[in-house]
Amino acid sequence: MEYRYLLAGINISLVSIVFIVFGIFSNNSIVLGTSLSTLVLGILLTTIGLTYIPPLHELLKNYSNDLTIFANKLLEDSGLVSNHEIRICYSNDIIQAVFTNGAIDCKKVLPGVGVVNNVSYISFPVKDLVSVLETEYSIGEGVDLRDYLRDILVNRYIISRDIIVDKEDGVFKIELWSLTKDARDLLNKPVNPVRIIVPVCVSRFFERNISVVDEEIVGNHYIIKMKVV
Amino acid sequence: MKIMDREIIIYSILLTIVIISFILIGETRPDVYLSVSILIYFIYTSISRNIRLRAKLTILDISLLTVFSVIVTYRILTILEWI
Repeated sequence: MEYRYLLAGINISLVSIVFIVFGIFSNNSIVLGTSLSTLVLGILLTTIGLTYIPPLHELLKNYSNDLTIFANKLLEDSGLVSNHEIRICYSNDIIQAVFTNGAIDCKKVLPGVGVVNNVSYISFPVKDLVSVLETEYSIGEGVDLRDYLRDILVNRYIISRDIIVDKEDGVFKIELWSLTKDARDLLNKPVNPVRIIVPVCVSRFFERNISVVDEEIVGNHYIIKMKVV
Repeated sequence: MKIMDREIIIYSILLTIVIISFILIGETRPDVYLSVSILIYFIYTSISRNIRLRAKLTILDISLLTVFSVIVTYRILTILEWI
């Protein structure tokens, strides 16, 4: 979305509509015709404003897709693709998103591909994401997990329209309601930012390791269950 | 952003030239103004790829094509004296 074009488009459209009404009531065909032409320009600008994609955004999206293909290939080759769970290993130095096929000791996990006690894993450090969370979103008394997640996932990254957080028997159930189209497209792949960012935010909030228990997509909602370990 | 701005300005100038030309020749049919504007939109956005690359114009395309088709159909029916 580009607000400059949107604003210009809405203004031109409104002025055109006023002149169209004037043209109709005053029976002035030239004013009516001119206003209709201008309305086309107004609608075009409004459409551009609403659907504008910055060039860099597009480049980064393509780059992210290419990296995802590579990450998925790694996941397939390591035999994790059919049966894996996501763990977030928290430490003061680094937070890692770990794809593994069993319980794993976070202290022994290193970034990259590896095996710990016969359990294979792929680990991605999420340094940049965490640095954004640390510098821009404070955690302290009075900060609720739902508000924290809402600020990041709904207001900043616009992954979904709303978020619901529930806790049952020590398991956090986080529901992302009405996923946006981009987020929905991303969720089709095993390794994707949406699957990683939610537990990373929770891990950062509690400053603890997180294990994702279950994930499902129901309609246009993404439901993820996780527990602090 | 500058390329996009330039393309929108060029489109606006083209549209303005056409509108002024129609006013100068005394054209009084509003549908002519509208249909030519729609034609300019399609021709310009086809030649200049930047607007289509950066924005999704599918819905606008369909809407304007529908309006254009209605105008053309109306004109044909008028010529054939069916309405």
